[in-house]
Parts: sequence; structure tokens; C-alpha cells
Amino acid sequence: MVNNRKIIFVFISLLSLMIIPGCGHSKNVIEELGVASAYGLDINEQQQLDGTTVLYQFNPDITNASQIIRSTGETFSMVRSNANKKSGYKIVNGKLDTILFGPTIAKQGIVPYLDTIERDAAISNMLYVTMSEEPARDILSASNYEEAPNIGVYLHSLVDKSVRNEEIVSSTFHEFMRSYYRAGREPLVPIISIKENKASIDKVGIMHGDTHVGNLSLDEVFLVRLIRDKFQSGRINLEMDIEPFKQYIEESQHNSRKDQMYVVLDKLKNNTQIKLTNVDDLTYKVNVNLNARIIETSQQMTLENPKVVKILEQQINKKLEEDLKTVLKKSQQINSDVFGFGVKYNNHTRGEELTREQWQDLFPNIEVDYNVSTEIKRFGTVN
Amino acid sequence: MKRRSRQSNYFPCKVETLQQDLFSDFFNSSPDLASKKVSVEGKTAIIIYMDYLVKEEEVFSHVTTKIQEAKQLDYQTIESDIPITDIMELKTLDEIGGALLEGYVCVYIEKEKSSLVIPVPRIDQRKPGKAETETLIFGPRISFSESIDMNMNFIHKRLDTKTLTVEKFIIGDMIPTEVRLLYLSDIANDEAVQEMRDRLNSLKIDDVLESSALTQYIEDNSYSIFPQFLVTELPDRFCYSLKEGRVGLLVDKSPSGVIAPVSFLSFFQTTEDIYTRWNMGSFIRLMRIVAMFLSITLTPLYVAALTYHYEIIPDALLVSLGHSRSRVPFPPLLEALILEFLIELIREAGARLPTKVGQTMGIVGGIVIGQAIVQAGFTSNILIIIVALSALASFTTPSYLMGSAIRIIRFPLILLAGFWGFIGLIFSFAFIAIHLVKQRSLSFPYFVPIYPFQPRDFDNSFLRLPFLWSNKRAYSNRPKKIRRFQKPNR
Amino acid sequence: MPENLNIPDHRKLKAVYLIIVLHTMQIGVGIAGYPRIVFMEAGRGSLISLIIAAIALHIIIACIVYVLRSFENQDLHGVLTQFFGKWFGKIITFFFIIYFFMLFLSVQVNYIEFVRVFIFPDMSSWLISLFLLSLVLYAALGGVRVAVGASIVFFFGAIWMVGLQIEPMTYIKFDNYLPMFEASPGELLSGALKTSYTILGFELLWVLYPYLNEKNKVHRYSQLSMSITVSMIIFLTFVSIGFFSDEQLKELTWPVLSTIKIISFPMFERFDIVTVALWMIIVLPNLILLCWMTGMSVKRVFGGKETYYIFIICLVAFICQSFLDNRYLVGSFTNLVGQTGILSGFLFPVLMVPFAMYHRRKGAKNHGKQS
Repeated sequence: MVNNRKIIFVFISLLSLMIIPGCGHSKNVIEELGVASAYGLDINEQQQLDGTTVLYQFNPDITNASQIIRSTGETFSMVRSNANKKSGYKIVNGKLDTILFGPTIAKQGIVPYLDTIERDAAISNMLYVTMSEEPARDILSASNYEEAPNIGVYLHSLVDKSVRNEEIVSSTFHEFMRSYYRAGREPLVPIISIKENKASIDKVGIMHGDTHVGNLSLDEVFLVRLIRDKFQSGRINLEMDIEPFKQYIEESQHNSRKDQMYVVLDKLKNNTQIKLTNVDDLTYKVNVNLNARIIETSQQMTLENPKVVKILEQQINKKLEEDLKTVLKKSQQINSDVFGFGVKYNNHTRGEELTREQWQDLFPNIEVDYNVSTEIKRFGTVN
Repeated sequence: MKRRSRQSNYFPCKVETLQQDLFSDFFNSSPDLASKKVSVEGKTAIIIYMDYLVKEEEVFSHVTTKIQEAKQLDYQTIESDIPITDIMELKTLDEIGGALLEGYVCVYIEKEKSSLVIPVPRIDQRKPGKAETETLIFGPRISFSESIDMNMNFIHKRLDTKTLTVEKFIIGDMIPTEVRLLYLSDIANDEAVQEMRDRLNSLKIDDVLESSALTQYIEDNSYSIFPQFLVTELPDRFCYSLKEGRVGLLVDKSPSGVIAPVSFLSFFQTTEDIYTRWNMGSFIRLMRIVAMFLSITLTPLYVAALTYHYEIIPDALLVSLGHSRSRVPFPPLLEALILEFLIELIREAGARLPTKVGQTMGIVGGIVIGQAIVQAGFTSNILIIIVALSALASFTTPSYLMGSAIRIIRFPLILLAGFWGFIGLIFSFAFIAIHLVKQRSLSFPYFVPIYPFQPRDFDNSFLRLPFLWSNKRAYSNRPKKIRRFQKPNR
Repeated sequence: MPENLNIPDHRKLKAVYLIIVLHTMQIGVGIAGYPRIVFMEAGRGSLISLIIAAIALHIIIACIVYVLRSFENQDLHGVLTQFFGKWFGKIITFFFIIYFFMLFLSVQVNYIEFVRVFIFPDMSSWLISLFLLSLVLYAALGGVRVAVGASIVFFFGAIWMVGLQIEPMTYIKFDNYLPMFEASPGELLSGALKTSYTILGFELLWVLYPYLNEKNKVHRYSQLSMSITVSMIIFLTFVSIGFFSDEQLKELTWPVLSTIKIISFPMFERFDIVTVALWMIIVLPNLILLCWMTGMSVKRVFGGKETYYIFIICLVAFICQSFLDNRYLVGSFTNLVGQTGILSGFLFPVLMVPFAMYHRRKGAKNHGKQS
């Protein structure tokens, strides 16, 4: 028995001696890597992909410089391997945070270039899909990116902050693909623009499938989100007619402003129900219940008076309902259902899955009846 | 002559012959064999002893003087005159020689058929001191000493119950050493006692050396890195374990007791957890287990992440890691091995050097070398933090043997992580888990209460619940009496 | 004469362990891809398919226990020889050995596939196989106690991973479940059939039964174990369906692993890599117990020493693994095992019930005659 054990022991140690040198799988030692944090993709005149790769910079002697590599290729992977030729580092995608599509691609459709991201398990599903109206390479060349180690990380935190502040609809790769595959709720993708050498978000692109067909301003996105998502603590600026409040506004300030009044609501929560009231006529009824607090008003009013609050609430309801209608009209003109009415329609019809084409025919004809009811819970430290 | 010494009818003989035989046959002409001839009323007696093995003053005052003053020289008179107990009559030269080595004084009256041996052993021992390897902040500090009598004394004082059973074994063919098996007969599991008895009885070795050496002869799996018997130098811990239904061993000339059967988790417990309040005790126990886990994972994780899985490093850390790594000429595996080796070096040097130099060594090693090694670009500073943290964590393990095992087990883990990343790491964890399940301590499962799954033992293994909640001994020890005390009715 | 297995009492295991052991046997590689497979068949009716499969599963367990309890201390081979005589029994057990071995192999190659897709695309499959098999050998050679013990330890090491689904749960869109009852009964049934591979593994009971104490509790605990498995699969499928939109779900090979791709902890961004490595801990109980039960069955048929058979099984698995090294082959092999499982796992116990009834009646008669 003891002899047996010895033989096994020798056998195992010989085996391990054989294996250890034979473990020839590739290493990714961190300092030898060019860790890509963002890709920007455009199409150049030769109909080739023109890629911009943003890398992490590990050399402590060079401060504050993004490593940016330009390369061209037919596919996303070729862009990467061509970029690899121009770098002493091995370019890897494992920490890709953001992918930015220039207008040339956005107009054609971005999904063909996303295939490798879905296929390659090394790439995170939580990267943000973004677009721009200027060439992606220009955006990624912006030199002001605050404290972030490179522009890619900056873009990621820019988008991430906006998503967490509930300013835009989240466009992580996973959520983008989910909306893309789901006919009847089109994806929304933030549009990065560049001002004074610094990137910012001030629009959101409406997609039709994977092509960019129109834009929404951030205020409009709020309205879309009101139907599509759930707010935990949203924020909105409302511009309202001053007329109904005239008698409550304190005299001293009365004349100082025009006939418009501004109210800012935050900590906004919503509860939205969409009902398909008639499947054949495609009429919807949308009930939106909101509650929020007032953080700013441009006119001093005595909010202690329940009447004022009531009027204010009614005005907000009216205002939101009107705005919602305008946004719906806009999206119907573009013929892209950003609200997700198509999904509701599909949920009510059995049998065949709704296709994007079918809904494209139906969507411009839908009628929606909005019914917003606001409740103002608090108004800060002043009354 | 030689033939004669073997025979049982060696006596009677002349006193000179006896002295001569002992001197030449038994002690290889040792210069330390002292003898004195006494004549009373025509009878001659001889007193023989090894001078450094006996208390000479007592020999003079209690033996020599008494014999000289005796009215009549025969064994009965001597035995009643001498105020020492345990006097024996021996008949062969071998026995006498053995007795002399144990500190007996041999008295032989000419023409008698046997010889008298009187125990006057000289035992030089240190006073019971403070525990060194298992220091407690709170609770009794006394530690076992090198004398089995004194150790038995400690235990009997702590456990003055009549069920404390002591069995004596003599182990060692060349150098016989006394080993005592202790257990509480009304609590300890019979199988455990019998198993220990069998193992001791069947043990055939030349010399015991020390109690921790003895455990290595009788343990279940000597290939394992994990200790299977608990070696402690604290009498209170020893007694606590006996009360829990375990079996204890004391070895003469060894300052530590052995406890079995033990589980993996008992190496992460101290009696201090019981002396402090339960919430503190529970927290510390959990912390030790977490520390053990961290100690073996942190460095391998670093190596695996930096060699293969850069994806898991958070953005914020990636840059600073990249910065510090970009100067290091070694791959992460080698870097980690060098630093781990260095820490072990500092620890070992600190332990070998005298206390005061050792402290200086620790400071020099820890701060100066650590600082310099980062500046020289040998390792990244994050690795220094990780290695220091895991070294620190390994020292929280109360048992020295287990602590060392954890420190050593890190090296294969680092190697596997360096070769195969997370796969290697998980492989080694799985291997350790299977190993622990396979392991046994005195034929009792080692990995209780996880396997065999025994949730009723969680009160005093992972945690230390208040006594009202844990009035039972560990089920996994299978004690005869499970209940420590009756819960008071309220 | 009934050839009872004589297992001394101290080598027997508590019946409670069945709850964990059967569960860990079932959950393995199948679950990772299951939501897609069932969704392809039954669409949004997947959960109903699953419930159909679950009911079948509970009935099967009842059948197995009924058959086993007709005897005192018999395993699969013992039961078969009782019913069909020595030679025919051996032949059927031999088929089961092949089936167990196929299960063993399919688990192994699927895990290798995970590792190569998610972590190391260029790691050689024989190396991963060597890792797995060396652990399996180490555990299985320790006998049933170690095999069961390792499964229990690994169960506790892995069960917390269910908690990883909390993050994906926040991404659930309830629209994805609607319209609910769309699938036709045919689709639901084929969905239920496709579930087989995921819930196979309960066959362990056939072999483990003689090693259990408290035989009267075996039924209760195994049913409990089944319901734990079923509820876990229902939970994971539920999350996957809500998390992905339908077309997306149909494109992903391992939806459960893909849901984990969104998880990031402060110190572990991209937890999916850790998860796939940790999946080894989920897979190992499968392999260890399957290896043990295959070895045990071989020993029952051919006699001899179990140890050598376990070595041989691992060696053969190591060789076979190299032939199944592309996604397509692995997929179709897994499918084949699933289909075999419908026959040998689900249909076989039902077929045994009449024999057991006959045996019981005969036994009662004999008993009556004697007294």
C-alpha cells in the first residue's frame, strides 16, 4: 500500500512537471495591455470603418494624455487588429465602457457593428451605446475630460451620471439590444456633442430599429420616461402661464416678471398605467400619477393655501398632458414608437409576434388619451 | 559476570561486586556514580546513586544519616526510618540501573536477597510561566511547564472532579517517556478514548521527543498540511476541551498538551472567546475565519487578476495598478512570490533572533525594506498592502500550527493562480474543500459542523452564543452527556 | 435469494443529506442554458412547461421510491436482478452504466465549453478536464461519504450565487411575460420534454438508496429536494425571461450566465468571470457523484474493486472529452443525453412500478404461507 502511494505520488509530480510548462494559454499581464475604454466608429469615404480607440495610459511619467489610436478596417474586429499594429500594447476590450457611433454609421444602422460585442464574452454588457452628430473621432479627441483618466472613462461617467439622475433613458448595451429586439419600443441613445473641447449630452437620439431617425431634447426625454420608465427621484422644469395664479402672487414681485412663470419639481415619482382601450381602433388611455416636491418657483406664492396648490397641480397636469401630446405627435411623425405602445399592443394580441414593419403601419394612427394627476407633497423650507 | 547480571538470582552478592557491576556494566564507568559504604553492627551496606540525578542534601539528611543512625541494619528498619514514600525492593541489576537513572538511590545490605531503591529525584524545572505562542489578553495566562507532575497538578486543580481519568503509557523503546491519557469518564466518547488508547499502545518508536512530535506519529493522515490534533500550552484550554468531551494527552518533558478529536474550526477558537462577552466572542470568531479566508485568497487573487483577468479590476484601481506595475520588471506571479518570501523571511528571522533584536528586525524589515522595495520598482505598492494584510490575517489564527499551515498553503495557491488564473484558484479551493471533507481527526470527521452537517453545533463553533443558548456540548464530539447544564426555568 | 447489499450502519448516511445531494446532482451545466431551450419551444409559456415537467418529476420520484421500498436494501442493479434474473438484470444495468457515463461526460464537456467561451478561449480542453477529473478522482476514491460530503460543502459554497440574480431582477420588464398563455399544448409539452436534461440527476437515488439511514424518510426528503430544484429553475427562468426580450433570449446560448454579465461589485467589476470559474463548484458535485455511481454500478455488475473502475472511468472520460471539442458537437451530445434521459430517467421508473407491485404481492403471499 505504501509502495502504491509512492508510485502515485511520483506519477502526479511527474505529470505536473509536464503540465506546468505546457500551459500555453495567453496571458494578459496588465502592464502589457492597451486596455480600451472607448471606441468611436465612423465610416470614411472609401466606405471603410474608421475607428478611434481610446486606451488607458499606464505610464506614470506621461500625465493627462489619452492614448488615442486611429485605424480603419472592414469590421469592428479588423479595426481593433489594425489598431494593434500601431501600438506596443496588446489591445483588449474587456474594460470597454463606451462605444460611440458617428453620424455616418448612425444613419445606416449600428447593429452590424455590435455583433462582436454580443458574441465576445470578454466584453461587458454594461457598456453604453452612444451616438454623436459630429464624427466620433472629433468627440474622442476632446482634450477636456475633467479628472477622468481618459476620454472614454469620462464619457462613461457622463452617461452614467445622467442615467442615475434619471435625465435620460439608460442605453447600456444590454438594454439597447433588448429594445432593439423588441418591436414596439424603440431604443433611445444619448447623443454626445462637443462644446468648447468638452463632451456633453444635450440630446437623445430616437432610433428606428438601429438607425438614428430623430432627436429628443432632454425635456422631451423626461416626458418619454414618464410613460416608459419609473422615476425614483426625477426632476423637471415647467414653464407655465401665470394667469391662474395672478391673485395669489405676492404684490412686491408681481410686476417684475413677464406673463410666464417657472416651477421646478424634484424628487418626482411616477406611476404610469397604459391601457389599450380598443384594440381595433388603437386607442390608449394613459394614467400618470405623479408626486413631487417644489424646489423652486419664479414667483412668490403662498403655498400654504391649499387652493394655490390645487391650482398649481391642475396647471401642471394640463401642461404635462399637452406636452405629452406634442411628443407623441413628434414621434408619430418620425414613425418611431419610443413610448412602448407597440409592446402593449403585442401583449393584447395573441398568436403572432408583432414585427417592426407591422407596427410601423399602425403606430401613426394610434390615439392616446393622457390623464395626468399630480400631487405636490412638499415645498421646501419656505411656504 | 555479565551472565549473572541477567539472572534474577543476582543477589546476594558482595557490596563491592554490586558497585563494580553497576559501574562497569551499566554506566560505562561514568565518573558520576557516587557510593558510600556504611557499617553498622558488623553489617555492611552500600548507598549508590547518580550524583546529578538526586537531591544530594536530601540523600545525606534522609538516607545516609538515617542508615548510619539505624539501630539495626535491615530493610524493614530502614524503610520505617526513612521518611520517603515509594521505596521499592528490586532484585535484578537491570531494574536497579533503570531506577538509578530515574533519580533513585540504591541501598544494598550485604547478603540480602534484594536491594532497596529510594526515590530522591532532582527535578530542575522552570517555574510555570506565561504562555508564549498562545497569548491571551483576557483570562488565565499560566502555561504548561516541562514537568508532567506540575502539568498534572495544574489540571487536577482545574478539574477536581472524580471522573477525571488518567491512564499512564510508557512510550519509546530507547528512551522511555511517560505519556498520560486524560479524559472525563462520564463525558468523553468511549470510541475516542479507545481509539487513542489503541494508537498509543501500538506505537513503537525509539523516542517521543515532544508532544507535537508524538501527534505526528499517531495522527490520521500524515501527508496533510493541516494539523489534526490540537497542541496547546494553555492548561485552561486543555481543561476546557476535556470538559467538552475530548481526550487529552500530556507528555513528560513537553510543555504542551495534545487534544483530540478536533475539528477544523477549533483551530480558530480560543478560550478567550468564552471569557469575553458573547457578542465580542462571536465577532472575533467570525473575523478569524474571514481573516483566514482572506489570507489565502488575497495574493492569489491579485496574481490571477493581474495576469489574466484585468476585466475585474475596477476602473479607479486599474490606472493606479497599471502605474505601479509598469515599473516592475517581473511578472505578477514572480513579484508576489518574491514578496511573500520576503515576509516569511522577516517573520522567521524575527522569531530566531533574541526578542529585542527581533523587534528591531520587524521594524527594519517591515518599514524600511517595504518602502525601499517599492521605490526600487521591485513590486507594486498595492501588492505590499495585500501581502502585508494577508500576513497579518494569518497571524490572527490562534493555533501556531494552523497559522503556519495557512501561510504555507498560500504558495501553491499563488502558483496555481499564476498559471491558470481563476480556474487554478477555484481548483485549489475545491481541492482544499475535498481534502478537509476527507480528513479525520482521531477517526472523527474533521470538517464538522459543515460536514457532517450539524447545525446544532453552530452555537459554539462559528459563533459563540450566550450560554443560555448554548448549554450543550458539541454534538459532533458525540459526548456521553450532551447537556452542560440545565437551562434555568424562567 | 435477494442479494442485499450489506452496508454496516456506521457507514450509512443521514437521509437528510438527500435534500442537498439530489439537488446538487440536478443543478449543473443544464441550468445555464435552460431558459433559452425551453423558451425556444414554449415561448412565454415556458413556466407552464416547467411546471408540467416538475409534476412529472415528483411522480417519477414517487415511483422510484416505491420500487426501492419493495426491497430492504437494494440498489438499481439489485432491483433489476430481482425482477429480470441475473443476466438480463446485468444487461440493463450495463445500459444504465453507459447512460451515467454519458451524463458524466456531458457535464464535463459543457463546463469546458463555458470556460473556453467566457474565460480562457485558448486554454486546452484536456487541461480543464485534467483539473476536473483530478478533483473527481480525489473525492470519488474516498467513497460515498466523501462524495456526499464534498457535494454538501460545494452546495454551501455555491448556493449564495442565487443571490446574484437580485441585480438582474431589477432589470425585469414585466411586458416580457405577456401575453402569457400563448403557447399551444404541443409546444408546452415539447418544452417540458426539453427540460429533461436540466433536471436529470435524481437517478442517484437508485444507487444511493442502500447507503441511507432512516429509509422511511427517504421519500419525503427526495420530494423536498425536487421541489427546491424546481423552484430554483423556475426562479432562474423567470428572471431570464423578464431580463431579455424574446428575440434576444433566443440568440443567447447561456442566458443565465449572460444575466450575470451585468453584475459588478466595487472590487470585482465583471463578476461573470468569477462566476464561470465558480461554476466549477456547481459542476463538481455532479461529476463526483456520477463518477461514484458509475463506478459502483460497474462494480455491481462485474465485481472487483471500485477504485480501479473509478480510475478507468476518469481515464475514458479524459479521452472522450477530446473528441467533443466544438460547440455543435457538445450541443448535440447534450441533446442526445437529454433524450436518453427521458427514457432511462423518466420512463424507466414508471415501467418498474408494475414489477414492484407484483413483487410486493408475491412477497406478501409468501409471508402469509410461512406464518
